[in-house]
Amino acid sequence: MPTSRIAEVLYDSETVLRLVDSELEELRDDPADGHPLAVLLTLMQRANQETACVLRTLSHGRDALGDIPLREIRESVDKLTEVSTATEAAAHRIMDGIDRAQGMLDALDRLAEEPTVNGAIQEAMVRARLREELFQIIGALQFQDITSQQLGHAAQMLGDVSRRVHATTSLLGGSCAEAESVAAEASPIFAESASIKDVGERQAAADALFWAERTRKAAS
Amino acid sequence: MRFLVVDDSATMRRIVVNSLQRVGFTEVVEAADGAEALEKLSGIDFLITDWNMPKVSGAELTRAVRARDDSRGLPIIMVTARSVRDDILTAMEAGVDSYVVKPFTPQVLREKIDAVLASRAAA
Repeated sequence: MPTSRIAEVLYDSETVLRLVDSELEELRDDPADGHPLAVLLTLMQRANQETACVLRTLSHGRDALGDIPLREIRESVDKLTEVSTATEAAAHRIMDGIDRAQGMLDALDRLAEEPTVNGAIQEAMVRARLREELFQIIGALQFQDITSQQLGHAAQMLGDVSRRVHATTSLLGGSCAEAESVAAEASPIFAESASIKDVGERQAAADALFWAERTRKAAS
Repeated sequence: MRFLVVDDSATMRRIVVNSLQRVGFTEVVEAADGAEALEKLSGIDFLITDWNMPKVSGAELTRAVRARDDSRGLPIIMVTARSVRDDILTAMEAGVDSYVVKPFTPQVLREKIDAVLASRAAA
């Protein structure tokens, strides 16, 4: 239910309860109604007050939750989706690199079996390409650090949602030991912007900002 | 030239060390966080550090290095997954000489190292 609709429902409920309370006051003060009705009216008034108290607590619980948990859950889902995509892309890069490396090993085997005039030069070239390919495979493993940051950030946001749920549970008078332990955990810091996407553009933007700041400081 | 590579991820330290070796720098020392790095600065000619680390972050490490008489002029490159504007400005204000966004290539790292050394030589 949207937050504005919740607010409307709470406001309408409180207004109706105030009107009921006002009517009950008038009936209780009316001498023509007699003793039994007065007792009933007192009970209804007490019930009305307790219902109003429950509504205030629900209102505070709503404030404790706010809109942030929904946004954080959405962002967590986005981060987790990106992690899945990044790991799949990295796995394919590594497998493609291994395929190419295996092809180069086959080429070295052929050169060894059928020596040619410039075979030594060709072997050296293939070995150089093989080393470069193996190095590229190592470079692809950077995805592990990036996805670690993304998972950490998603976990941090979900931890914040958990703390808010715990705060709301406490307001409503319940207890939730598991939520308490999550709420008490300190959150390490993760890079919110960690990503394997558009690294060329992000590096270029960083370089431009560095250059602009250096130029500005040199001029001042 | 002796490098100090600082990153809490053992995988990333291997990749950075591998990249440095790939582009011709073979003398490399490693540290797993900023606190350990501060203890290993002696004899270091160039510092390459991550940002998000336990105990002492890369930005805090940079400020500490710049505050010490024996390491104030040490060349520093931040290699990090952080790439928003505020982070880059924070790194600059802390005192880094250059900034490399992860994931990076050895060629980019070499370009930044060369640029920092050339800038120091020209100054």
